[in-house]
Amino acid sequence: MSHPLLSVSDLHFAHTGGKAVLSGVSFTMPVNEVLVVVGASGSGKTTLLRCIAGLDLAQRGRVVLDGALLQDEAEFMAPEERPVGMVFQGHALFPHLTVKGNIGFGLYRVPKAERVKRVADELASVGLNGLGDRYPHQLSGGQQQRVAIARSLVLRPRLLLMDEPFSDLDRRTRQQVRTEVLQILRAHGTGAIVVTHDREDAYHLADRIAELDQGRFVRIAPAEDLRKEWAQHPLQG
Amino acid sequence: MVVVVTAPFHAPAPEWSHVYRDVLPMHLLETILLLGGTVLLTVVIGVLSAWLVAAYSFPLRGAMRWMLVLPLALPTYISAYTYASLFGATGTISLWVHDLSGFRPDIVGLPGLIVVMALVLFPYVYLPARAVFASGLREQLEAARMLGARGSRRFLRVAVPLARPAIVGGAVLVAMETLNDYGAVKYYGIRTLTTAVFRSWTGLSDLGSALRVAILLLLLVVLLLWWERRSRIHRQQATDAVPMVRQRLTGKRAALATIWCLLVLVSGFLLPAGKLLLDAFTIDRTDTWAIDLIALRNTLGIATGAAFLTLLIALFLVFILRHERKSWTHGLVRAATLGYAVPGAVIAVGVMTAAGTIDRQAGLSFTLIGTIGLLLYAFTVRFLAVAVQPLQGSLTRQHSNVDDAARMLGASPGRIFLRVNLPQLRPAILAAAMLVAIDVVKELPLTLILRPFNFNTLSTRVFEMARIEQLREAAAPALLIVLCVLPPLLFLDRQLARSEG
Amino acid sequence: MRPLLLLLPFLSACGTPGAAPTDDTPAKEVNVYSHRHYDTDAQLFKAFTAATGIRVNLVMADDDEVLTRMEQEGANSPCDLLITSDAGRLGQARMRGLLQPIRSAELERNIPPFLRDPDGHWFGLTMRARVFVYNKNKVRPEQLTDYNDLVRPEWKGRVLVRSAENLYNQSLLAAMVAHFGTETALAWATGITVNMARTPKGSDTDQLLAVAEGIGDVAIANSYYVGKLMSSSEPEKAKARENLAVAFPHMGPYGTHVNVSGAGVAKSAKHLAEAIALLEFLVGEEAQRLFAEGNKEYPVRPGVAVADVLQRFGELTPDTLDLAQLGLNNATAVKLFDKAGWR
Repeated sequence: MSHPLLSVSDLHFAHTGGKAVLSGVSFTMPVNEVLVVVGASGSGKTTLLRCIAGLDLAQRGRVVLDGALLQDEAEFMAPEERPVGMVFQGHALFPHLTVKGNIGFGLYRVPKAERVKRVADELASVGLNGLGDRYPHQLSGGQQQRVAIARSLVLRPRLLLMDEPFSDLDRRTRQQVRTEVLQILRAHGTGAIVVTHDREDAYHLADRIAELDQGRFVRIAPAEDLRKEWAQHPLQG
Repeated sequence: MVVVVTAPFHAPAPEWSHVYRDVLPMHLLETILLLGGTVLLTVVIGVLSAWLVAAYSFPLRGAMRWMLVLPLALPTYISAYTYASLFGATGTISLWVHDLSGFRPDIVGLPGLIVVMALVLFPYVYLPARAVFASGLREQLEAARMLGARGSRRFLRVAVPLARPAIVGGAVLVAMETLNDYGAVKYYGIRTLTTAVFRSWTGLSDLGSALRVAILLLLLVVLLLWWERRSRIHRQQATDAVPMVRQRLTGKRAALATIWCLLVLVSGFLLPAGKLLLDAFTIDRTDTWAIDLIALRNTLGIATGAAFLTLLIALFLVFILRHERKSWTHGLVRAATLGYAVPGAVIAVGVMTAAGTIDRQAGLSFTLIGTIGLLLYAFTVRFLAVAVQPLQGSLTRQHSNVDDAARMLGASPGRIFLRVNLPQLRPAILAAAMLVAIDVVKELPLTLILRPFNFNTLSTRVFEMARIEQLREAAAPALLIVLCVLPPLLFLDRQLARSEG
Repeated sequence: MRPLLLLLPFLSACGTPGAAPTDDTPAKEVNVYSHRHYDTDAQLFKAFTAATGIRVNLVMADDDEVLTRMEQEGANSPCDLLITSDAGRLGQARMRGLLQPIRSAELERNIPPFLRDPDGHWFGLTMRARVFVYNKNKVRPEQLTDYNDLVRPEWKGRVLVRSAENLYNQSLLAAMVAHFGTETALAWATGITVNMARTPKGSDTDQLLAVAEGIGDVAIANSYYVGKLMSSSEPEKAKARENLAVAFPHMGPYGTHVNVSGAGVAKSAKHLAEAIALLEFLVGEEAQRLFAEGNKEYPVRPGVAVADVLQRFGELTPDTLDLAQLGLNNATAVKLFDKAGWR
């Protein structure tokens, strides 16, 4: 059997002088899985992503991605070295760069000709053909979202972290982008952790759903189980 | 201001053809070289230091963060004199180097002046850049990290372009300070537009030509301001105000960061200030301290008065700008703030001309010239820009919805401004007052020309000593200037630091 | 200008401190605008007050700025006495109608005619000579008898002098224009520019220190800076002067170029008697001695001794050119500097 894509064990994080945000999170993810993390606001969802990305420095815990150690007590791999992509809430696009510039930003070590081609391919695969020379503020919310995803995926990360990726899209666009994202993830064989508070996102995206409460996973279960449960209690969650 | 702009068109300028042909070309060229070099170097020093302090942790970082604003406490001309006394051809350190190696360093010249000016003026860029780096760009910088960008790439490709409006804003202030300097450029033998103004006025006795050159100077400033505005257009500033998580540097990189900051601090402040301290206490006479203390009292008095008056007028300007949204108000405010780039002596002439006209028209039995009131008014003309900028910045961050809501509750514009806008402006008002006070303490020519009888300030004391080439005697009042400027400067730094988180 | 109008009441309330024009109770005071920033002057004013009971109120600023201020103040100007350090500016002040003629036997007796305005608009108080300071080890004094000597090819790369921005350079060249015309003056300025050891920068004192250090061999400098350096207690300066000596060059058939620091009574003077009293005091024996000893200037009053540090380098034979010429030719001189490329 193949080894897991990601294994996180006993992850602890607290702000300096503040109370614990993560207190012992452990889980593993098989290759290709889309794990959706749900939980009330303040439950530590975003911090979990940031610790896996390496943007926040977990005080304790071990993270292994695809057999490579990202961090433990002794080692720490800088975020820019990790084969992990991240889509931020609010996209964090570079306002001074065009769509092409945004997507090509991480490819700076790739020869120019190849970079141009890969950016063009990526543009096509997220359906943004013809918009490459626009600036972010000239795009709609859905288009911006796609640029944010495209610039991460063009680097072919092993794992994509997404923080409330669809929160500022309207209902129709949301459905459409969600479907596309799922297709892209499947096509590239990329695993993903998606943080959301939206039950519908979770419902449509997840292979498994994990529920975070007070810095701990209180439950992690196949999406099927939760779908059934939600069907019985439609007003909760 | 109005006088400076309109006078040249009816004032006779008998020597204009000479000024135009034989003076302007070289003076314009050297002005541009000086301006370009100084602005470039301040941007490099200011932005790099701001980035290190905002993005990384390294030994002494906490102290460096605030100490790097200290060079602003030194008036440019004082720093320039001090540097010349150390590194000029016959300066103390140059002589020593010459004895040891036979090589004779000489900082007095265009490249040297660029370095000296940049070392004093870089905090104008450092402060705003630090503020943006520390709290305005976290998301974009983290996104860049997740896209594999290392420190230098994040700095050059994300942080610097995104902080450009702030950096350009600081650079424009640096440019204005460079343009209006007279003492340092004269001593270093540089020909600038400002020296051309004086050459026409005092050398050729042609005030008309002098004012025409001053207009050229103003045009240059208008160009700079246009550049500043342009850098703000089409760029929505990211304003997520989340403090950046600093990366810890270790080993050689940490040492390099500390050394860089120390180098900037020592050469920008500690070295010249130390030399002043040494001179002030090795001078063999102490009888001047009493005069210096009276000068200190006068300095604090006019700084307070000018800050108060300037603030009043600045508030009035931003009020009409807010509630009278017509195109002429923008023009008025912009014209009113040009004074910052004009050499003080030119403003003094303008103000005297205006006051003289009023004297005659009103048939006064005394003259307004030489009153404290006129001196304070002249400071206002000169430093209005310094006060308007932070106020305007803070006011544009107040959402106009609030004004509309107040209006729906039946408040008049005046009442809205007093009861809604003004309370929120408090930090900006305080900052603006401090900035004006700092500038007034450091200012020289206006005070010199417009002061009442028997009225000395610290800067006139420094000038009087420096003028008769007694640079050591100038050290004590110069040091007092630094001491006066430090508290408001550090207050400003703290205020900014709080907003950085 | 609207903000100014708002301020009028405030301004009037401030009044003019120290210069209240109270005609009914004539205050014993005199208001002085001065370009001179020396300690000796402060001492002299103190002595004057002690001797006469007349208070001296002072504004110090540069000549041209002071003239502009007087002009704008017009008839209301509180200024009684104008003191400058350039005869040219005094001549200008007269032409611009800022001064009034004074008749005083005391002044006329004690000031040689060429050092004062023929009609009594202004009077010279002290002289400053534009001299050569050379390196004793490298230069023989016979090489330096005329200003023109320095344009010879042997001096290439050896001459140190300040920028043309400097007033005393301007008045030196103005004197040449007055004596020999513009072409000769331009030839001289061009010759000096060619022979300069470095581009002009720094102060007069800096030029002297540079001679001592061997950066050049001869400097054109103002005599009272030379005197100050020669009597300074600062170690670097004490060391520097060991190598230095002074020469008093002639201007062709005429003497060494001098300019004066002088004074004139303002047309608007409200304290006329006090102003004249102060003028007479300043050319008195005591004051002239202090100018000479304290500030190393040449006294105008015959019979008052020159400071030792200057006297030992030789006698000053001043050029007796009508000093008003300096003012009349100043603009021409500045233009010639620009033509010669002397920055």
